[in-house]
Amino acid sequence: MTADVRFAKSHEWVRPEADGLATIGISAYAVEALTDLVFMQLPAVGRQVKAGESIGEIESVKAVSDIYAPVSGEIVAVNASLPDRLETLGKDPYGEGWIVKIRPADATEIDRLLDRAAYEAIIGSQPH
Amino acid sequence: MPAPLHAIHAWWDPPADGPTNMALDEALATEAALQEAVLVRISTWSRPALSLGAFQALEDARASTAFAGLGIVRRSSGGGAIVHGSDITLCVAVPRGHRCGGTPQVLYDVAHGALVEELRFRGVEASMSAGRPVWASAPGIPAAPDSSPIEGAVTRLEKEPFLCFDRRATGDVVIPDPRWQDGRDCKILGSAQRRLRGAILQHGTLLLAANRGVPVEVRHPGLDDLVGPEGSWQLPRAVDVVRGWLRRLAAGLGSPLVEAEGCFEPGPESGFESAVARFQLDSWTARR
Repeated sequence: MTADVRFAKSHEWVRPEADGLATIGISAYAVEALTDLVFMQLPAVGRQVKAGESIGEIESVKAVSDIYAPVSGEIVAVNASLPDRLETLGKDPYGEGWIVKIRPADATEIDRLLDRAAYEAIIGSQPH
Repeated sequence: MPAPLHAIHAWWDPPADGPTNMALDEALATEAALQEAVLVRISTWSRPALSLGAFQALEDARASTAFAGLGIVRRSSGGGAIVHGSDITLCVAVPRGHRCGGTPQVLYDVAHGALVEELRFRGVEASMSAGRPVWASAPGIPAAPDSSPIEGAVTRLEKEPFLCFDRRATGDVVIPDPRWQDGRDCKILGSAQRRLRGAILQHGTLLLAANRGVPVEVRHPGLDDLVGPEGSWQLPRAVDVVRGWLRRLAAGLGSPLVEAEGCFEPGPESGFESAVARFQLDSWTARR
């Protein structure tokens, strides 16, 4: 888990990039909790999203979960090969397992997300 | 008298069509999140229907004549397709913060374990399956990758059996199949979840009897066929089994059980009417 990553309570992570974009993925905790991923749907590039809006879905053997946008903005890139190699989400959730890149409408939204310590406190109290 | 705090509330609903059942279950999840309580809705289907898992392709259903004449509805939960009409749906909605709100397997095991206990109490040799990867039961079928990033496109790692009762996951409730002497068993309860922001919605399907409204190749034996005597496990007698399941579910969750009088009525925040309309839409059913 890298220090510059912020988290949403719904288990998405955000990393602000030098070019002003925000890279989004789902946390290692969420990947492990879902187990046995089988399907994934990505959003369309160019779509405008609001923070909290569903931008995709992921299915494991027993469950379908939404992936929520942690920040508002325009989706400018998707990791198009990820659905074909879902094991990447488990192996490298904060690197090769990135899901989308968003051009944030308001960069301060990122600052309002959870830092690593706050997120770890939340998942430490979650039921297993 | 007001219901005890954190009690499990259960409703026995009259038969309904697919879109209505799906919308009521979504509303149940909304209420579970709002009330921070475990809510259960027990329902049946007013006419034979096929429900698709959230990611299943409609064309896979249309490709088989076996499902001709059945109404089709798409669930928001995952898993495989189910032919409804001789089953009972055990829908459990759990708030995210509940101790069963962690990994998907926890709620699966609690709900399924309660049925295993109830069936064993009644002399049925039920157990929970050790499971196997869902694709293992369809060897040799190649993957059908689709890497298009276009919204609506879905990638499947490998072709799974189309029907839920042809799949086997860890925790599925199985009982021995008396037609075979080699230890084969049959799945009689399978579940799938939708993990929403505030709650987890779990659809469980208990197969009471083989559905004689569909061709034999898509028919699966239910309790009545596997355990008998004939008729003893069908409605209304199966109500006793489900009532026992409810009591054991509540005991397993450590909460008192409140069986509500009347049917479940969605609250004003649930968006029930719009949900019914959405589940009726061809565009929803054909979204995959």
